[in-house]
Amino acid sequence: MRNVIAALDIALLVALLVVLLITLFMRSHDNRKYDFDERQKLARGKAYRNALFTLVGYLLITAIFDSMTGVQWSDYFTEVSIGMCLSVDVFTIQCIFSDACVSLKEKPGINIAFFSLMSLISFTNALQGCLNGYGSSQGGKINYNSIGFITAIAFAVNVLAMIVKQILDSRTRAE
Amino acid sequence: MKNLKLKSARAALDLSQQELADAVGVSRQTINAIEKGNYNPTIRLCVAICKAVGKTLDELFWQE
Repeated sequence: MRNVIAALDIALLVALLVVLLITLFMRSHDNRKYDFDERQKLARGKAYRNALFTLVGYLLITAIFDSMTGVQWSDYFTEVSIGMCLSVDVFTIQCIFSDACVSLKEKPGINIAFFSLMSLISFTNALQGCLNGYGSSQGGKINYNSIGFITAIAFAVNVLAMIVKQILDSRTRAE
Repeated sequence: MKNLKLKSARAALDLSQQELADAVGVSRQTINAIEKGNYNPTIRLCVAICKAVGKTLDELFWQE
């Protein structure tokens, strides 16, 4: 069983590397510009600022909560990782809803497929860990084995936001 | 405030938002935001739009 899981892990890693290499190759042989217009750049700047404030606020609130109550609900690595996922989600969701997530020449469908794939990979990886005996919590605390599930949720939220945006966008497309 | 002048100038040329956006090098949503009054474009983009629809800055962006 362990050999099968190890083989699956290696296969996932190889698949990721292949996708990465193909993407890099395609971009280097593509004359299209992957840039954003002035409104998109402005929107991305605002989203970036909000993501930063979200991360700072999250870290501050969790630090105050931990020190005041003495309740340690998670290990530090996982706690910070949740904050990072949260702030990245704030950035992407704000970009998605202000039409600043994809550049001028990109198609949203590719991003939806990519985020779905990443969510699936994270989820299967975390599930494999669970089946292999690495639980997501220990002694009432969430541990780093849960990060796969957390990133899977973060990517899934992005996919959902993109789909909702596509539906909303189809109404204005006809104008 | 909605920019109806831009919308009517675009419609007069039978251009879609996407076609105008491609002509000036911005996203369709940016043109939509300008027409709806949700975004104030820079002078550079205003000039590009004016050239694309064959109007002057006053005709498209001057508010009475």
